[in-house]
Formats: sequence, C-alpha cells, structure tokens
Amino acid sequence: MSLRILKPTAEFADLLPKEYQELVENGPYHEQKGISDLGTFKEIIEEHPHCAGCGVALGVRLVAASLPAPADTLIIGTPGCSFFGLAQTALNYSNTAFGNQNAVASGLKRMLKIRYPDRNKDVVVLVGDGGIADIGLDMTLHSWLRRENITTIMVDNEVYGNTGGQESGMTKEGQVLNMAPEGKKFPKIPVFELARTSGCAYGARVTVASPRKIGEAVKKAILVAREVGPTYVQIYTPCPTNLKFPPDQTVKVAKDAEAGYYSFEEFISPEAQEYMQKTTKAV
Amino acid sequence: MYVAARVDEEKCNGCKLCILTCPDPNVISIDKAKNIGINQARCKGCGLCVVACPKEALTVS
Amino acid sequence: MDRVQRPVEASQLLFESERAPAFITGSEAVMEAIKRANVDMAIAYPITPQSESMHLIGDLYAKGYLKDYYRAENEFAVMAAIHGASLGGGRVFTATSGPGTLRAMEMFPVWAGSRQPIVCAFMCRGVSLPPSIQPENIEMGMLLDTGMLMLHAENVQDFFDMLLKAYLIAEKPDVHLPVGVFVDGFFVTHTRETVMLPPDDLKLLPYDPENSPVPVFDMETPPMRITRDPLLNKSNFISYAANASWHQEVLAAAERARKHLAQYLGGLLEVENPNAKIFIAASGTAVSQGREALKDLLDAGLDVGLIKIKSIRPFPVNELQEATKNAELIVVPEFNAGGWLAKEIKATLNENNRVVAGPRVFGGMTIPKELIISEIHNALNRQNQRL
Repeated sequence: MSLRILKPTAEFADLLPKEYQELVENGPYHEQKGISDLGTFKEIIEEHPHCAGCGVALGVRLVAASLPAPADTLIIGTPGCSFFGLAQTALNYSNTAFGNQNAVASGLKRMLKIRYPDRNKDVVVLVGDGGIADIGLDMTLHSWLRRENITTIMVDNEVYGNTGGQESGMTKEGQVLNMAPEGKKFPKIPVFELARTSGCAYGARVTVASPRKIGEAVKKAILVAREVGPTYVQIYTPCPTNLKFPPDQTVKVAKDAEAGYYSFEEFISPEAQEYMQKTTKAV
Repeated sequence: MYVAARVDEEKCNGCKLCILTCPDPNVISIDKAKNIGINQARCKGCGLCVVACPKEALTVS
Repeated sequence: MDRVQRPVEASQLLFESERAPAFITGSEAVMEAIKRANVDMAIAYPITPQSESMHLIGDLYAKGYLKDYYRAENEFAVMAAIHGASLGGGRVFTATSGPGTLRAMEMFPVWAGSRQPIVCAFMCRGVSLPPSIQPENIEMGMLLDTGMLMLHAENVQDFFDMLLKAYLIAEKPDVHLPVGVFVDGFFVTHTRETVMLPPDDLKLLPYDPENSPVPVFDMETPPMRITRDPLLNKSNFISYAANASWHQEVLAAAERARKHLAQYLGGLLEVENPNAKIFIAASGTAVSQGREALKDLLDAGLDVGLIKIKSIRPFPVNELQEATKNAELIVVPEFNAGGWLAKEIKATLNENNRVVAGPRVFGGMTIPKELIISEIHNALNRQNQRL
C-alpha cells in the first residue's frame, strides 16, 4: 500500500477520525518502526476489550509493532481471545471458522503471489494455542509440510480463554481447568518441535517477558517466509483471568516460565541463514 | 471512579520498560525529553507497568 | 498452454460464438468450462465421484491455463484455502461431493457472509451412514440456507453452461456471492453425451476485484480498524444490528441475482406443456426421468406437463406459482430420502395439498419412469375417491 492510498485528500482530511490522522502522520506504515520505538509512534492496534493485564493482548501488541512492513501485511486469525486486539488493528485482518487459519493463509498467499508477483505481501497467521495446536493442528502442519510462504505466530496462553478457561493441548500437564477437573493428563503438545520437523525454515520460542526478542524473532520469521519457507514463532502470553493470578503478575509469570520450561529457543535452516545474511548485508 | 497508572516524574529515568509491558496500545508514550505520558482514559489499571518499573516511579490509583 | 486464448465478453463466448459438438462426460465438461473461465487458481481434494474433474483441472494447470493448483489436506481445508484465495482478489474453482460437502460445511456460510464470488461444483452423492458413493442429492437440502446461490444441472450440457454462467452471476457487483453448481453424481459426471461447446481459443474476461462491493484483502485500500468481516463478538445493540443488517444484505444480494439468472439461464425454471393440469416438477436428473414419464403419459392421453427447476437458490417462487396456478396435481420426484424439493415447493404454493412429495429414491438407484407414472395414477385415484 503506497502512501498515496493512505493519505486522505486535503479537503477531507479533517473529516477523518483523529486516530486515522495520527496513523497517517505518525504511524509505522512508511517509516520503519520497531519494538524499541514503542511509545513514540502511533501503534496500528487501537483500544481493545482484552482483560486488564492480558498476556495475549501484550503479545499481539508486540507482534504488531515488530512487523517489518505493516503497509503490506495481512493477518489471518481465528476466533478466540487474539481476535479482540487484532480486530482493532489498522491492517487487513480476517478470521472465519475456528482452526482454518493456515489453510486460509495458504490460499491467500498464493493468490497474492499471482496478483503481485514483484512485491512482498506478508501473510501472517496470528492466533492462539487452541486454534493452532488443537482444532487446526492438521492445517497448521500441512501448511508447513507444503512449504507455504507464511509466518505462523502462536500467542500461547495455555488455555481456551474466550470460552471461559478450558484445558487446551498447550496447557501444562496437571493444570486444573474447566474440562480438566482432575488436572490435564498429558504434556503440552510439542508444536515448536513439530515446526522444526515439518519444514519450517525458522522457528523461535519466546515469552512476553522478552519484548526485544519477540521483535527480532517476528522480523526474522517474516523475512524468511518471504523467500525461503514457512516460519513459526511461539510466544508465551499468560492469562491472569483463567489461570487465576493477579493481572500485574503477567510478565513475572512469563519471566519465571522463561527461566524454566519456556526457555528461549531458536532454529534456522542453512538456507534461511544464508538468506538472512544476504538480506542483512544488503541493508 | 476508574483506576489508572500515574507517573512520578522525579523518579522516572525514561527507561521505557513500562511501555514494553503495557498490554494496551497507545496508552503510555514518551517524548524526546524522555517524559512519560499516560493516557489515563485508556488505562485499565492492571499494574504491569508498576511491577516492571525499576525506579518505583509508577503507581495505580 | 496448448491454445492461445483471447479474453472476450461473456455474451460472445456464451451466446454468439459458433459451437461445435463434443461427446464428453460431465467431468470433462467441468474441465472444458474451467478452461474457458479464465480461472486463476483451483484447489482439489479427492472424493468419488468428483475426483476425475479435479484431475482434469490439474492437467489444465500443468498446461498453463491456471496460475496455481494444489491438492489440499481435506475438504474443510480446501474450502478455507479457496476462501483465502478469493479474498486475495482472484477467480477460483473447486469441487466436492457428499461427505466432502458435509466435512466443509462450516465454510459455505463464510463464503456467502464474506461476499466471495467463489464457484464450486457439487457432484452430489450419498452421505454416511450407511456409506454410499452412489448418486443422491441430500446434501443440497443441507445447503439451502448457507447463503450461496444454487443451480441444479440436469445434464452435461447444463453443467458446462451453468459453470461458466455461475462466474458471471457470482461476480456481478450487486450480487457478489458464491454459486454452487450441482449435479447428481455419476448420472451426469460419468456419462457421455453430445455437448455443444464454444471454441476453446476464447475465454472470459479476467475477474476484476475493483468491482467487488467489499474491500479486497490485499492491503491496497486505506486501512480500517475493522475485521474484513463484520465484527460481532460484542454483545450490544450495535453489534446485533450490524449482524442482522449484514445478513439481510446477503439475502438481498441473492434476490438481486434473479434478473441475472433470468438473463443467462433464460429463467429460473422451464415449463413443458404449460397448460397441463398435472405437472411433474423436478430438478437435476430427476427432470430427465420425468421427461421420459411425460412421453408415456402424453401417449396415454393424460394432460401432463413438466417443470424443470434450474435455480434452487434463489427459488423461483413467483414463476412456480404462475406455472401451477391451474394445476390440480404436482408430483415431485427426487433423488434423496429427505424430499427437500417437495418441501420447498409446498412452502411456495397455495393449496399445497396438490403437491405429492414423491416418488423418492435413494441409495444410488435411478428413478424408473414407471415409478413416476404410478405415483401420478395413485394420486389421481386418491383425488377421484375424494370426489
């Protein structure tokens, strides 16, 4: 999307909402912004109804601030908590049926390649653990196995939040939740490992306690997906509402997890590594 | 009466950790002189910034 | 590509160019239609009796007629991916059958609600249990209120023509809805008949996403802080009103399709022997069986006519009321156990005790003309006894 499309004609500019005008004047569309610039530019997400202290909202916000080219980024989501912030985001966002995000993204990316052969249109899947690891796992894996040029980002709150706190496949073993009255009886689904073995060219596992790592991982993932192959970023985004901890502890919970079972991890294929070196040199 | 975060400008050193822990967009801002601004109408008062601040410059009230 | 094709106006391709005969199956007719439809992308998943048609679409891709094609992981994924492709602003095609239709069910209202002009062929077959790969069109009854337009082809010629016309109707800016083109599996897909085809060096003009009544999903329009689909996850009056008005607009778009259906299909239904007192009303291959029965009944001196219903959604309400205003008996033969067409007709007509919901066959059998004839005789006997 060019600046010409974004900018209103002068005669009508004052009719547009203030938020839109701020986006035009101080948004991230045409000047590269990143995590470290937060607080100095107009973010593309607007006021949303996530709970106070929501890890998912923080994860979504940090991802949105890390997009290398928001003016040409399309986000595919799925029903669930992640929807609330994303629906208030000033880029093309669609969610349709639960769990189908990687299939929708596959079709979309292929059509955009047909229509814009000489331009990068970044198709990013940004959804929760239920959508990626449970109901949509087959479509997640098949999009990777087919080597689709899309980035998949999981905001993992280890629970079905929007439906009222039920166990998901990404819930920790033993955790008591709705539909797991005796505690979850099997471990977290190893989606990160599955990404590695299913053909992802780059993968990263991070938490919201490390915003700069999220920034780097998301950027790398999107760049590698353009030219090399599918990429995956898994972000731990704890849920105070359903996991029953005070909302001011979200980042601390994430930090503790990072010191233990949710440690930072990254993998990159040799081809992606070579591509990244070339891209960084070119910049 | 809604609760919202408030900043003590004397204590704040402009490290921006609060901005990086706020789950809500466009709430905490920083200007060139490193002054922190909080859009209190949009703050949900979760307190994440309070916990994150190493200088104890933030409160929720 | 084995042919250099020239994009031409639809009227030239469909109505003005000289057609030549070809002795082909329904599956081959799908290929011939898509070859001339200037489709950007197709996605396939195998199921009997659809598979052969999508093999042939794959061959078209290999020859360069389509720009992308792949075999996906299941029908739900196919219909989701084809939705994504359509969101991206191109012309798409896919097809499925019976259990595949049901597997993908959640996506059809999404297509309509999202106003995507997707064309999908449904080669109808039985659904489990008991399992059947044989022709049966119960799936149509399950799709009646998904918001998509539904055309029911009687034979291979219909199938070819309706697929091409489906794109034209689906892509009208005042419609912009998905169109399902349905045939009874095997009876149409796997039988050969002589079909009149326009030249294959002509194709439709490309889809123009700029004509879409909803923004194309390509980040080339000013960003709005809304989902591409209406946001309805909030419980308040505005959300309810947005949801309701969006639904009403989908229904209204289907209504606006009537004039285009009339233009391209020559009407939503066709009537043979319009002054008759007794009618056989049917859709799909049941029309062909009805036509065979009609010949015998006319030979026997009965005053019988035939109504071929081509458009199931929108349903030809006024046309059917007009065609049957003097009818005393309307028999509705169907290839399914549920009798959805008879229910539609009964809901449409006054004095619907004139409608006989049958004969119905299912499990893959054909409807013998004798069954239709005896249904009419039985109904006439019942009416006489009442008198």
